[in-house]
Amino acid sequence: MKQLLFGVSILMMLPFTACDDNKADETENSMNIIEVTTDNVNDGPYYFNFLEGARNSTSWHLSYNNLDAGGGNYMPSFSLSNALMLSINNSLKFEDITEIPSTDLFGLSDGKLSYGGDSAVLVYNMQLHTISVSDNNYIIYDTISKKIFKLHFDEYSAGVVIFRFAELNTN
Amino acid sequence: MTVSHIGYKTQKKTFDKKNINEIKFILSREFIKMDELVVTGTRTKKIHNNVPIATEVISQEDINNSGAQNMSDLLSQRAGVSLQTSVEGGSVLNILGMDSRYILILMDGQPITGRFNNRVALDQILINRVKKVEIVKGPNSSLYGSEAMAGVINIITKDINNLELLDISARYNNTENKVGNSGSKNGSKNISINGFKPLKKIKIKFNADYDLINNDKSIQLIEIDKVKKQTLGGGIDWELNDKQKLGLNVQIYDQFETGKSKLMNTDTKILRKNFSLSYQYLTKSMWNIEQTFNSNNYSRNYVQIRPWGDLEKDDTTNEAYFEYEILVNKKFGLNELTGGIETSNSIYKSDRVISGKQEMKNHSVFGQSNFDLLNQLSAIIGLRFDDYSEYNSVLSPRVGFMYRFEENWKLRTSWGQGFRAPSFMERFIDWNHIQFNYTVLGNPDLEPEKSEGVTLGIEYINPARYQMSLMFYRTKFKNLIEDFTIQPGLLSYQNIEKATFSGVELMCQLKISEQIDSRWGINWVNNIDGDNKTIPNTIPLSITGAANYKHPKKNINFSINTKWIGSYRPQEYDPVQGLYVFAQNKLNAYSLIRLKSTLKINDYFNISMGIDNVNNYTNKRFGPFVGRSGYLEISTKLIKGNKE
Repeated sequence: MKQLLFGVSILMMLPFTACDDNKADETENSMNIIEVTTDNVNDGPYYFNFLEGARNSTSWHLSYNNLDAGGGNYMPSFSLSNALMLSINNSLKFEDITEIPSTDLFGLSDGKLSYGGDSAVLVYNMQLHTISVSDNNYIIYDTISKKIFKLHFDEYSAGVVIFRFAELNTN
Repeated sequence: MTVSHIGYKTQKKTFDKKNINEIKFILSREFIKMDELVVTGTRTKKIHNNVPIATEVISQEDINNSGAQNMSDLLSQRAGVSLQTSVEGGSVLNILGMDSRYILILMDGQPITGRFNNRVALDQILINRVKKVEIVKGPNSSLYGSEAMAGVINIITKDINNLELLDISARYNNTENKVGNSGSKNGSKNISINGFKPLKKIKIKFNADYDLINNDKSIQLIEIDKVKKQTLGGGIDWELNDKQKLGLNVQIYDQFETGKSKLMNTDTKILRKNFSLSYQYLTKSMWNIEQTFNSNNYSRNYVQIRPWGDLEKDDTTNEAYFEYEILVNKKFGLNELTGGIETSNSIYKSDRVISGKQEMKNHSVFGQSNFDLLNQLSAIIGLRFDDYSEYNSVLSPRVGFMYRFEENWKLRTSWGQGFRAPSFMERFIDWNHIQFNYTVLGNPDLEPEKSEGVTLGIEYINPARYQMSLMFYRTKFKNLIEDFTIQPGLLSYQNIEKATFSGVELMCQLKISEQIDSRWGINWVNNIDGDNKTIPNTIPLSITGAANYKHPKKNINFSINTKWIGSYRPQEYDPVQGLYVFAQNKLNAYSLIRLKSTLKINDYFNISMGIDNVNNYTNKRFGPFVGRSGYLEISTKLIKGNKE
C-alpha cells in the first residue's frame, strides 16, 4: 500500500517538478542601457533620437504616432527613420547582446516596425482587444553616424510605452 | 421487511420474529440516482425520474471528482461548453454553443446580480459550497422569465440536514510548470469552511471561503498580479411548527484585484451582498405557499492610475435588485399545480451609462400544471406574463410531455418560448475603448430578444449499471441583440439578428465494475445566422469522457477527466472595418486532460492531488492560456450525529 501511494505521488508530481537549471547566471554587463518612457501617443506624435538619448522632433530615429489605418481608425504605431537599417536578434536575451551582427544581416526597415509590419512593435490581439509589445530585440544601424544600437520594447499601457536601448560598441 | 431510501438499492429480508435482537440493513448506492429530488425544471421538488422536462444533474460526486475550483471551471469540463475570453475582460462561457447570456444562471433558484459584460461571472462562484448543479435545456421563460431563452443552470448549495458538521478544506494550486523557481509564492491558495448546526427547531449554517491568487499565469492575461476572493455567509432554517417554516440567508462576497507595472497600477474592488428571507406555509387544504424577499447589491470599482500619479480611469458600477415573490403549489394525487407572482425593481448606476443611473420595474405572473394523461404519459403546461416598465410585455408559454415505455425507456419532448430583456448596458452604455479608438453607444429602443425552442430526447436507464440519453434541441432566435457599426469607430446595438441553434447531445454513464465507472458525452452543434452562415465561435463537435476508480479497501479514488474540442473558427474584432470577423484560420482540434487522486486517511480526513491540463496545451491567442498545473488539497469532515 505504502509503495502504491509513493508511486502515485511521484507520478503525479513528475510533470511539474522537472529540474530547473535556469540559474541566475546573468553576466555583469557594463553596457549603459537607457530606459525611456514615451508620452501618451493620444496627446500627439513622439520622436526620439538615440544619439542624443532624448526627444527630438526634427532629427529623430524612432517615431511613435497614431497611424491612419483606414476607415477612420488611428492605430498606435512605431517607425524608424529612413536613415536606419534593421536587424533582429532573438537568439540572445536583450541584456546579453554585446556584439554587432554581420552587416549582411541588416536590411531596410521599410515600415517593418509599424502597424501591420512584419516585425511590428505593437501587437494587436483582436480577440482580447489588447495591445502589447513584441519581444523582439531590434538592432539598428544608423547609416549617417555609423553607430549601432540595440532596442527592446518592454511595456505598452493606454498609449504610453517603455523601451530600452544601448549603443553597441563597433570597435 | 423491506427498506428503501432515495439513491439506494431497496433491500428485502425475511426474519423469524422469535429470534430477533437486532436488525441491520446496509444499503448500497444505486449507480444511477434517478430517484433524487430535482427542482429546476418545474420549480417544485420532484423525483428526477418523474420530471417531464429533461434535467441533467452534476452531482456532488461529479463535482468532487472534477477537481474544479469554481463554477466556470466545472461547467467548462462538459461537452458543448467552452470558455472564450471577452474583450471587456474575464471569460464568456459558451453553453450548448450559445453565449451564456442566453442561459439563465440561478443560485438556489434565485437570480444572480452583478453581471460584468451582461454575463454572470461564474469564476466568482467557488465550488466548495455547491451541492449539485441542475441543467435544463430549452426555453424556460414560462417559469423563470428573462434570460431563460435556451436553458437554465441552477447551482444548488449544500443544505442543512440533521447532522452537525464542520467541513474544512485547504488547497494549494500552482499554474507554473516549474515549482522549483517560484516555490509557493505564486499560484493560488484556498481555504474553505462549511458548518451546519441543527438545534431543536432551528438549523444554522455558515460558510467562509478565502481564495488568494498570486502572480499566477491564470491572471497574468488580464494584467493582474494578485486576486483575493472572500465569501462569508450564513443562514437559518426555523421550523416554527408543522406547517410553517422561516428561512434566512445572507452572503457577502468581496473580491480585490491589483496589478502593478512600470506604466500602470490597477485596482478592482467587487462587493456583492445577497440577503433572502423566505416564509413557507402549508394550509389546511394542503396548498404550499412560499413567500420570498430577495435583496441583492453589487458594486464594482475599477481604477487605473499611473505610477507617477496621473489618474487614467475611475469607473464605478452599482447594481441593486429587489424581488418579492409568492409561489403556490398543490399536489392532487400525481398531478400538481404551481403558480406565482413576482415583482422586482432593478437599479443600475454606472459611470459607463448615459445619465449615470437607470431603473426598471417588472411584474409577472405565472402558472403551471403537471398532470398524467395516461399511466405512461405525463404532461406539463406553463405560461408566464412579464410586464416591464420600460418596454412591451412578454408572454412565454411552454408544453412538455414524457412517455414511459418498457419500464426503462423514456421519451421526452418540450416546446417553449423564451426571452431576454435588454440589459442596462445594451440600452444605455456610453463608453470609449481608448486603445482601439472606438466608442460604444447604447440603444434605448431595444426590444427583448425572443426564442422559440423544441427539445426531443430519449433515455434508457438501468439503475444498476448504466444510463444513456440522446437529446436533440433546436432554438430559433429573433430580435437578437448584436453590436453593429454605425460608422467607423462608433458601435451600437440593434435587434436585427436571427439565428438558429441546433444540437444533438449523447450522454452515457456506465458502471464497468464495482470499482470503475465512467461517464462520457458527445455534443454536436450547428449554429447559423439568418443568412445560413455559421455563427463565429461555434464549436461543432466536442466530446468528454471521465472515468473513476475506487479501490475497494484501500480508500483510494482516482479520476481522469478528458475533453476533446473539435476544430472551429473563432471570431475577432477588426478595428479597421470596425466589425467582428472570422479569424483567418481555423483553430485545430485539441484535448484537455485532468487527473485527480484522493486518499481517504480515515472517516474524517482526505488528501487529494491533481493535475490539470496534463498535456500542457495552450493557445496564446484564443486560449486555453494556462498550461499544466498541479494542486494539493487537504480536507477534513467532522460529523456528529447519524451518518448516512
